[in-house]
Amino acid sequence: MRIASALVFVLLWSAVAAAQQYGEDTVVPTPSGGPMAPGKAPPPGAAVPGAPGAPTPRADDFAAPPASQLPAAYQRPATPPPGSAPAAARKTDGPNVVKIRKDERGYQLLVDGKPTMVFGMNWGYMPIGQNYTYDFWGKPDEVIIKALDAEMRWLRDMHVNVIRQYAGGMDGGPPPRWIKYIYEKYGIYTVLNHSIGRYGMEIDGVWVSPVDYSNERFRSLMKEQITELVAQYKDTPGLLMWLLGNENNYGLYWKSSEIEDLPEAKQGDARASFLYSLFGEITDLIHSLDQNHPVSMANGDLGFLEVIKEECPNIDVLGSNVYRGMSSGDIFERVDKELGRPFMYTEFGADAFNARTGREDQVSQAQYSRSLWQEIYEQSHGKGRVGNAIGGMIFQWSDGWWKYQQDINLDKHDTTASWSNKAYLSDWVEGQNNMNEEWFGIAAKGKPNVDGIYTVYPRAAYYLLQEAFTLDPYAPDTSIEKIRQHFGRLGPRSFDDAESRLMELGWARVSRLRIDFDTYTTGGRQLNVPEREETRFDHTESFYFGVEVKPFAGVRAEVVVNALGNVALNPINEIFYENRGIPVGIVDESGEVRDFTGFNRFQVYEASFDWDSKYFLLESFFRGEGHYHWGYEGDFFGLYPEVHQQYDIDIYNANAPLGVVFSGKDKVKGLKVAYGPQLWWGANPTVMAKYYRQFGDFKFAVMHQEDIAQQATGIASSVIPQPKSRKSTLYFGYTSKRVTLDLGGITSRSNFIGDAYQTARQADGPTYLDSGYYIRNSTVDFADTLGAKAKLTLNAAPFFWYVQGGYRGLVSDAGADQTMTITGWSLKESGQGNHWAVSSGLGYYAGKFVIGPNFLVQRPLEGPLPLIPDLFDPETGTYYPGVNARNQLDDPFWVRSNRETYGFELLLGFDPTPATQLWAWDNLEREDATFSAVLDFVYKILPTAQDAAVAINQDLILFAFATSAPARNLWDISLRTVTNFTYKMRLVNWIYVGQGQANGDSPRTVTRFGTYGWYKYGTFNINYHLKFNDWGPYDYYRDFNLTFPLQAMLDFSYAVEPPGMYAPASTRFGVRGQFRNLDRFSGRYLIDPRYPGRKGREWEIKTYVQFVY
Amino acid sequence: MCSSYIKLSFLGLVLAVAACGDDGEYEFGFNTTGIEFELFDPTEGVHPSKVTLSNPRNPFRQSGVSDDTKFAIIGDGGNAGAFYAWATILAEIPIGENQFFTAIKLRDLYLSNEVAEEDRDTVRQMAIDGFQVVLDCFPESLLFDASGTFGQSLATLSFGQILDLGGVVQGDWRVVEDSLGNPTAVRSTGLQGQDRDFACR
Repeated sequence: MRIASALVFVLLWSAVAAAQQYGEDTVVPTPSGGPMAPGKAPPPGAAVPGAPGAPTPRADDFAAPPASQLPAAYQRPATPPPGSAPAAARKTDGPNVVKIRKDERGYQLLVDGKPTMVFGMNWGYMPIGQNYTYDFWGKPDEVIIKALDAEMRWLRDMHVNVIRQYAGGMDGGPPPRWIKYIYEKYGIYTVLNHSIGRYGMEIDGVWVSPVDYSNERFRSLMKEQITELVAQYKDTPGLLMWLLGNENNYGLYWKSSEIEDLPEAKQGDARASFLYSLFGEITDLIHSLDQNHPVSMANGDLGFLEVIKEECPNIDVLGSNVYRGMSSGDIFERVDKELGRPFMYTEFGADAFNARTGREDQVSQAQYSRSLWQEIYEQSHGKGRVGNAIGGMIFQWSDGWWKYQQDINLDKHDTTASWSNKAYLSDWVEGQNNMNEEWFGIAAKGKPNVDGIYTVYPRAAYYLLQEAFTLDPYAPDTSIEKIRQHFGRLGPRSFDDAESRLMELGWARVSRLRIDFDTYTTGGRQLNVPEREETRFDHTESFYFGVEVKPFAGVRAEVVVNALGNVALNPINEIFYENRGIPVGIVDESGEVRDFTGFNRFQVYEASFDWDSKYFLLESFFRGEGHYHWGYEGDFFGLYPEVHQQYDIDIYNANAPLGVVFSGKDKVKGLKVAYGPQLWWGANPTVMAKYYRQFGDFKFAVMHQEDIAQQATGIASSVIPQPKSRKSTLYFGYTSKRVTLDLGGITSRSNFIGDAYQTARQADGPTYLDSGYYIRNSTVDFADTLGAKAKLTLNAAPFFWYVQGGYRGLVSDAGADQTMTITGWSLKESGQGNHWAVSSGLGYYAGKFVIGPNFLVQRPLEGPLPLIPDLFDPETGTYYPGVNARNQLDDPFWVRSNRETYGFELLLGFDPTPATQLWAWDNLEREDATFSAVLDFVYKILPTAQDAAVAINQDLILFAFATSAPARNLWDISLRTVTNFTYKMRLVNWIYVGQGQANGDSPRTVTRFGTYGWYKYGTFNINYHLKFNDWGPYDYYRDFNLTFPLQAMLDFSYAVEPPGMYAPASTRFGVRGQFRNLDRFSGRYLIDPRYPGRKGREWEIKTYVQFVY
Repeated sequence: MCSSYIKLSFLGLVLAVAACGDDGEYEFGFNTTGIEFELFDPTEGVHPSKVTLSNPRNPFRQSGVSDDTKFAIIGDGGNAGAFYAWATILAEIPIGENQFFTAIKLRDLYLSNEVAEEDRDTVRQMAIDGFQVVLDCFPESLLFDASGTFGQSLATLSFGQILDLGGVVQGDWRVVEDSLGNPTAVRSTGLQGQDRDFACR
């Protein structure tokens, strides 16, 4: 009965609304888009005063209503707005005919003969956690319909009648049927925007960015693309206009001989000529193919207006992305006078975040929006002013959480302002950025559900503009005075919602709440710890609570603490974050051992503090998200490694990274200083400073690091602190169109000058203690601290080639190379001193395939020391000291990663979607191709052993092994695949097989193989691994060569939201099973003479319930 | 012209770096019997001091001494050479055996007048301190014969050595006869638990 009533109501309402709003459409003939008397019919989306159920008062008697009568913020209006119309009212039998009409009163856009102002919106569908690689239009129809219906209702209700969408280029764009759907169902037109290579273009199978607009191959391919595009879309109902580029005048960076031969001052105009002549040619091309839709461009403000007039004379509408604050000043006059064209904003507006107060600011966004739209109305046709404004497209519909940094922190609503704009005085402070890219939404955005569908929460600007657009700009009685009166009644604060006011008042918030409830059931057989053989049950509870405060402008601090309930004693993976809470045995005064469980049950999990001021950005951190390396900004020798929210840091309870980084601005731009007790895990207390500048094509950096003290001990052998040292580097770089050259020099560990060391040389004849070696004793001198490196990279697409050579004195240590060259090769020169190396690789991009051979030759200047036992000759009383492998605790240098290596690597990749680079760190989560794969083969000839590794025992005491694993050639093969079976079913899988050696002194070479991966279907998640003859989960397994014949793990979980690969903590519940076989090479294995050859085993079933806010 | 300067500069840099190199000296071993003792620090050779590793007169401070060689040196390496060898190994591996023989060599240096006259009392006291450390820190240590089958209490031996050197045993140590009638040093309490950890670490 209720359903029937609802249907009757909907039908009645549809009929009434159609009659009232679009009745005239049915009686006013618009043959072939012919002109119609101005103001005869309301434009689609324009308000009809008094429409049934309209939530707003009539335009002509509008007065700012009390807040209590406004539509509740964050609530969709319950009744349809004036702008909506039934599908039957749309023109669906062919293209809309869109013309520009010019008369003595100005310009108008006529759509099917009706004067239409563009109440436009930059719209795209991008859930939180995604970025530019997200393929919305590749989703199943039912998902697209859900998303469109949710979004377009909001837009229709706001009286938006145009959206801007990209087509072609990187995202594929909306298929015509969806443009038609949006138009037919919601009356919203689409401006179809081709970026014209703004962000790069695939040319002959190679992704090229920035593009060279003078390149004939590019221009011809682009015109081919446009021809296809126009053929595909031109007859689509709902298509309003073609739009070319997006601020392409801000991306004129390509290099070519024609450009570089010109004086620098003329290079900009020369590049612009190529750009706009291409725009001109494309405009003419479109005109020849489609006479129904005008052509516009999305220029960056009014840049190169005179070049546009010269090179692109037939453009129909000048569109510009304009961010000039409350008013765009003379923009309408200039376009009219200098170009003689109608003007349309392709982007404009304001962000909803106040960089000065550090808080959301809906009111100022609404104020800017009101002012700018009032200006559009006043400058539109027939108002007595310029008359060339035909509307604009607000930037943007909903917040883009990906916009700051674009590849990282995609699920963080970043409040870092990324550029400065004095026109926005509400939050502008000299020397500080104030434009918050992630807060430009007219609507805020909620988290997506399993289908990727999210809810939006309109801000004050939404409701203000909803009211603003009720005024018909082309009604006969819409005068300047009426416009001013109408907009004058719109008080932004009246539309500000209660929640945002609370946010303005409050300066502290709960930033984290996480609850973990885990149970463990374990057992085993033939284990050297008898109680582990029993079936045991235990449980762990862990609680996280975080608070974030923003007490002053540009200042933010956050502290997250962890508290423990019970801590399980039986997990088979015995190292984990909460194990700090297990009972500790203490010997009391009487010598008895007592268990204490009260230690560290409450501790700071992570903390951070940022201060963004005019002259600097100060970032301090304790654990948490970590920081990035400086490899792309002059740290050529990798002194400052990156640290991320590492799993290992967590489970080892490491107090790292801990420190503060100062980044200079203004007059000290380019200066960075980092200081801290442990800037990265395993670092000594250190201070480092870097000054980096770019001068045109040249780069320069100078850097110094001074360790203040030696880190007393470590907690994991993978991060043994290096000896206290000082290092200085110098870097020069040069980049031209095809060539990049990097040169650097280093002096490192000069505090080791004078330290003694031994070397060994193989020899024939009499040798030291008949060992086959001469042994020499020397001391470190200045030359041993020096090093140099040079790298040449050539871009001859589709071929890319690099060659690198380096020389490092004995103690000229630095860090590992963390940058990426051409592809994701793993074979790289060591960051240690004591070596020279040459490496070279070639990347060939053949369409969807990549082939990358890579070579490395590396030799230590002084090889590892052999083991020669000491000897005392009692007859002569002579003592012959023994020779032992060097190690980093006792010697000024040693041979480990810098061992003699002749390496070859072959990398084969397949990826049909080049925008998601196979080598990007987050590719596994971003990859959007149905299938992509990388096969990597590495073969290393290792003709010598190494010096000794340093490890750590259970009492956290460092020690050096006596020797190392022997010389042995090693190979490795790995295959990584990403398969998107459907839009919500994804499998990321690795298969590996290869050989490896222990870090310690075990002579056994391990041949291991296995598979591991991650599968998700909606919010259902599976993690797994199946490993054979491989090392166990912690670094000490490899140190001591402890392997398991079999390790298997399967983890099922069901979450509230789709789980992310790099953010495993989420609200979910699940169960995980682990099983291991043990043999004589495994830890905890008990040899039982009763069962010779029988393997031991251990198993664990874990259940978990996790809540994360 | 410019490239010539660059080439010359590069060549100069290479030559300068090469000229700075240190070829070092070949290792031929050294004679231990010719080594003379010189007082460096009154804690040298007394656990937990590791000062011997920074004594420039100690020829073993960087190379160390292996377990296989130390007993050869103690017999034929000269008292000073053997002291430095054992003090080094004590600093690296602090066990009762290494402390005991380091103290024995201090005693031998004192008894054989191989120390400067003004340092004799100090060296004697260093030997007594070394034996006392055996009692305090390694009271359960045993001395085995070459076959590894007969264990003798180092505490008992140290107790006797202190008395022989005219010293006074600290703590409530006394000598009693064991079940076989052999004299054995025992104590009522001694250093225990945390006290021993603190004193001996």
